[in-house]
Order: sequence, then C-alpha cells, then structure tokens
Amino acid sequence: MESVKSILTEDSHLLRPVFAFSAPFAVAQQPTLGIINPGRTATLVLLLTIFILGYVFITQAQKGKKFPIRKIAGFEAIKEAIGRAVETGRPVLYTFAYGNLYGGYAPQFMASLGILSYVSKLAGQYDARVITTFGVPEAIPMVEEIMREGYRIGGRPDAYTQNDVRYQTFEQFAYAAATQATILREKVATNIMIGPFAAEALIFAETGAAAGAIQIAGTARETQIPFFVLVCDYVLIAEEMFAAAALATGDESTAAVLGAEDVGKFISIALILLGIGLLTLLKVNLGALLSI
Amino acid sequence: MSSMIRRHGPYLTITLLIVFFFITYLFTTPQPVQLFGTQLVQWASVVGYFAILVGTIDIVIFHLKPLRSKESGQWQYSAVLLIITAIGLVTGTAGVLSGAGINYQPFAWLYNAIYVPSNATVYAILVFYIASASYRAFRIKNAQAAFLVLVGFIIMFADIGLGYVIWPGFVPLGNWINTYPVAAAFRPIIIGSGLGVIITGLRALLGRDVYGR
Amino acid sequence: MNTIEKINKILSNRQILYLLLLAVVLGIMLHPLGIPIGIAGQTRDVYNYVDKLPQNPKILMDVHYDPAGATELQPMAGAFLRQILVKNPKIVFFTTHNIGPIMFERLRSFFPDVFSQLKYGDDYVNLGFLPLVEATFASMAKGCQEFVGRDAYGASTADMPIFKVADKAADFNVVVLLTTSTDPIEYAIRQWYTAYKMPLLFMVVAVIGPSVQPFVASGQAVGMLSGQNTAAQYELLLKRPGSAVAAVDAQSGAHVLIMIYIVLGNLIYWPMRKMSKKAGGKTK
Repeated sequence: MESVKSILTEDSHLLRPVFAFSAPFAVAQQPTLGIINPGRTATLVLLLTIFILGYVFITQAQKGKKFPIRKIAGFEAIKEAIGRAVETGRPVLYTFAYGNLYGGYAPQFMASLGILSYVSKLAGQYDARVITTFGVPEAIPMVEEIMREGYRIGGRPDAYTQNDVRYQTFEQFAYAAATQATILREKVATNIMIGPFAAEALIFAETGAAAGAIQIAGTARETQIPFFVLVCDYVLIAEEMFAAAALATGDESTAAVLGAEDVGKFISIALILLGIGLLTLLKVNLGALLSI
Repeated sequence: MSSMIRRHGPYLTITLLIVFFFITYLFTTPQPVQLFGTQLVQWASVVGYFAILVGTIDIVIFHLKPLRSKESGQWQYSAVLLIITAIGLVTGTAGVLSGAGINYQPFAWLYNAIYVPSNATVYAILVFYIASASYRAFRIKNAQAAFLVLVGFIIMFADIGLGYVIWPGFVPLGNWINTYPVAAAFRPIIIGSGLGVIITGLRALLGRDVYGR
Repeated sequence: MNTIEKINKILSNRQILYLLLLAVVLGIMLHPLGIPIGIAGQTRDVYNYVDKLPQNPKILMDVHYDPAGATELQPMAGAFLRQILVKNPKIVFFTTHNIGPIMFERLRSFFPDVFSQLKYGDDYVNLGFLPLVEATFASMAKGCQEFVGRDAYGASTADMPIFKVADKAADFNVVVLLTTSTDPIEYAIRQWYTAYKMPLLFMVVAVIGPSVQPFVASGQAVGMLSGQNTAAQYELLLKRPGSAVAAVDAQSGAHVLIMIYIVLGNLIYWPMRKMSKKAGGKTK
C-alpha cells in the first residue's frame, strides 16, 4: 500500500509528465519588435491575412455567392465505387489512419470525416455495407454518429451496425496489421483510404490491390502521396482532400474558404519569386528579412 | 437563451482558448498568462490519455462480443488479443508498482521479444509491396513515364554500392537530385498542406466545420 | 499461350517475386559481397560539422523512433555518439515517442563502448518520455531542468551537474532529432530554430528524407542523414563499420532485383501491347 501511495504523490515520476510542464510556448531571450515574439512577425501577418480573407469569403458565401470547385476525379469516383460494392455484394472499407485529434494532422482527420459522412449517406441510399477502421481513439463517438446519421439520411437507418465501426489501436503497425486483415477477411470490393497515413499507406494499397478492390486514396502527407499514386485507381492529392471534403458536405462556406487558401498560395508564389529576385539581383536574403 | 448557450457555448469556449494560445505564441505575455497556458496544456495531455483509455475499453468491448458468441473465424483472434492486452496491463502495472518501470524484466521481455520483432516485421513487409507495386507501375508508356523511370534508376543506383561501382558519379548526381528538384517538388505540397491546415482551423474557430452534421 | 505471355505470367506472379526477394536478401546477409559504398556530400557535411564542434559540446537528443525505424536510425545514433565521444560531450537525452524509452535502453545496450565512458548525471541524462511534442520542445528550450523535475528513472534533476552547463536553448551546440516522422521536424523548426536559431541536425528514415530536404536546403538545419545507406556512409567515415554497413549489401541486392523486374516488365510490356492491339483488345 505504501508503494502505491508513493506512486500517486505529486512527486512521483509516474505523474511527472502531467505536472512538470512549463510554459507551452517559449519566449525568446533576444530583443523583439515590441510585443511580438521574435521570428513571428511574418507568421502573424500571414495568418491575419488568411484569416481575414477566409472570413470575408465566408461572409460572401452566406450572402449567396457561389464558389465553384472543379471536378475532382477521386471524389466523383466514390459513387461509382460504392455502386460496384453493392453489385458484387461485398463491403466498402473506409479507413482514415491513426493518430490524435489534437495534433498537426487534425485537419486531415476532419476532412476525412466529412468525406465519410458523404460515403455513409451513399451507403444508406444504395444499401451498401461500410466498415470503418481507424486508430484515433477520440474519434470513436464522432464516427459512430456520422455513420448512424449518414445511413439515416440515406434512408436505411437499420442498415447501420455498430460492429462495423472498428477502432483498431493507437499503435501504427498494429493498426496496419488489423486493417490489412480486415481488407482480406471481409473481401472488400472498395477500399477508401483518406487521411494522414504514414508507412501503412502502401500496406493498405497493396493489400487492397491483391484483394481486387477498387481503391480511392487521399492524403496531404507528402511522403505517402507517391505510394498512393503508384497503386491506387484514384488519388486526392493534398488540398484536393480538403476540396473533396467541401464537396462532400455541400456547404458553401466550406468551399469559400478554399478561395482563401488559393489566395494564400498566390501570396506564397509571390514571396518565392520576390525572394529569388532579391537574392539573385541584390544579394538580399528575404528569409532573413522575414524572420524579424 | 439556454439553447443558444448549449449550441454555441462549446464553440465559443474553444475559440476563446485557441485565440488565447495564438496570443501567447505570437506576443510576449506576462508570466501569469503563461502559467495559465501551462495549466491548459496539462489538461490537454490528461484528456489525451483518457482518450487512449476510452480506446482501450472500446477494443475490449468489441472483441468480447465474438468471444461470447463464438463467432466463427474470429473468436480465436479476439481471444489472443484480449489475453495479450491483459498480460501487457498486468506486467506494466507490476513494473510501475515495483519501481523498475520499463526495465521490469517480464515487461521488458514482452517488448523486446514480441513487440519489437512484430513492429519491425510489419514495416519490413513494405519492401515486398514496393517491389510488386514498382513492377506494376513503372511502365514506359510515354515520355514522362520514361523520364520517371530514368530518374528512379539514378536514385536507386545512387543508393546502392553497385551504382558506385558502375559509375561513381551516381552518388553526387543522386544527392543533387534529392537536394534540388525533389526539394522543389515537395515544397509546394508542404505549403499547400500548411494552408489547408490554417483554413480548416479557421473553419473550426468560426464554427463552420460541418463535418458529420 | 506463347513465350511472351508465359514470361508475363511468371513475372506477374507476386509469390515468385516475394520468394526471390527473400532469397536474395537472406543470401546476401549470410554471404556479404563487400560492395564498395560511395560517400555522399551531404553525409560528409554532417561528419565535418560534428568534427568541427568545440570541445565539451552540449547536445540535446530526441530519440523519437520505434522498432521499425531502429534499423536505420540506431546505427546513425551510435555512429554520432562514437564520433562525439572524443570531445567529452554533455548529452541530454529525451523522447517524445511513447516507445522511445525502450528504444533508448536498446541504444544504450547496443553501444556499451559509448555509455561506459559517460557518467550518468554528469555527462549524460535520460529524461524519458515527454508527451505533447511541440509543447515539450518549447518548454525544453526555456529550461530542461525546470521543465522536467525527475529523469526517466525517478531521480531528481535538481542536483544533476549536467544541467549547470546544458539547460537552456543558448547552452546547446546542436540539437539532434532521430525521427521516423516529419511532425517533430516541423515542431523543431518552429520552436527551436525560428525562436532561438538552435542548430538542428536531423537523422531520419529514407522515406521522409525528401520531405525534410527543403528545410536542410534553406539552411534551417545544419544537415541531415537519411536512410540506412547514409548511416553506412557515416560509419565508414568514422572507420567503424557496424550494422548499417552489414545491411547495405542486402539492400543493394533488393534494389537490383527490383530494377531487373522493372526492366523485364517493360521489355514484356511493349510486345504484349502490340499483341493486344492486333487482337483488338485494350492494354492497361
């Protein structure tokens, strides 16, 4: 009992990670531009620009302005792929990687959940079985709700099975092995992989190819894009995933902020060209200038 | 009024917290403000660990069902998973209670003899998949495909000793390709993904993330 | 079925390819060929950089990998530690990966020649697993000893001599990141380089090398080692061949087999396509 008590005291190294934190964002030691932390002025300016633009675009969308998004082949193929699954009588597998919702890849998870809502609506319309596998523990209630709602909106609320929402595990290769096994045992007809995949991307894609599934993939994780392009039938590359999520939800505001993203890209291009010009002609390092 | 608070309260709270973190990140702030930020980060880590606990419980419940119903072709795997989960929990807890932590002999053995080889094996499967994917995909159907295969071969030769034996120039050439064209190709994807993250964050801040509604 | 179709059937058979790959890799591992290894400029730059560090360098090292990445990263870490050992370093180890503590213990057991010459608490310390990567990086830069009250083994860090000289961002000569993921790279750039201009040295697995290259090319990192091949090159520069050099021959064999398959696949592809057109069908 004493050893248990000592473990649970504040000094205990067991609880160290929780109680021993310092300031979450460090303040640098060198002089600053007034109240702005050093090296973050450019970040502040760019963030504010994109935020203001995004807000303006959303307001315009709410007033009725349309923001058209071009056809995205991977997104258009989802309906066809689900139809194929219904014809063959085999299920659809939807997987969106492992990780956590409070990390840097949270937006990719959220985009994937948007596309999952579209997939589950189609599954409800066509009476397709969708098995969802993932390794994000915080997403369990969200996925259950999305699937249940999707089937209900599609017109077949009784087709939803909680058993088909499968949280595998938080560990990368255990999740990879479990999903790989699901693809093979369930003999999926359609394999939809949208999310921030790491090394498991090729494992899923090759297993799906071996199972003869039609494969639609999407990721903004640049290291895995080549593997998906190599193996899958359709790929949503980087921002196409966010655009597909906007198309999936049908929300005009979601489409509107993509316009802000495009403006951000133009700003990046302008900065790159300016940087090249300054360095080549005047020997001035724009990066050093911007890190005030 | 109360329905408004119920609907918008959570979003407003999260938005205020996120704005607070932006302020502490971008601007110099007094010490008490930073300490408050520290507390919030601590809570975030606690929530994160509870999420893993919820996930573990979900897995156990999911695998108990086929075990009870003796679902054909599945219950054996579920049994193995549950037994290993139990062993891991027991040895890990025993390690903590004994004070040895990860160096507790049974726990260390579980990791070194089972987890490490399994983890490395699943990663190693990739080499087989890359081989079969490369064979299927690297077909010279047009000029771009030919260029892709050529560059791929240069990089592969740069990576292997045989390439150095055939022509030592493969190594600096491969290095150059990785340093300039490849970096240039990856930069836009990194920039685009980063912008997508900012935009999605903005949508969440404004309560416009309609995923799942 | 004519000859071309028979060859195509054999080449398309995954099982044959996998068996050949297994045979080649196992065979070469059992009978190494000793193929020469060329040293890339980037690897030499890393070696030279470490060589030019001053005496008694202070190093912050994040062991952020799992067993999958250990094959590539552990040799790099070991080679780096062996090179730096002659300068009497002070090394603060920590990990932001939940499997990291195990990986550190394995690193310690695989390189006893290094750790037997370092005194715990004086020359090196292991702070263990610290969650929430970016917040950890920000806090470590402000002060490791204030941030982490106890090390991985429960001992108080307050009295450890190492923190008198290696504690805050300005104290460290270089930060070494051993990682299989691009997340810690980005966090390190934001929290260490942008704020404090701390020199960053990345040791990563080959698959994320291209993603990290832009940061190295722009000068935000002092250098990068990417993959088992560069680990082998690094070992050779140190004249201490280890597990990376031992494995590179097998890696070469696998590469060669894949290249042969690609060439054969293309040699078969065009006749098959012509045959298919003659028969009036489509070729994929």
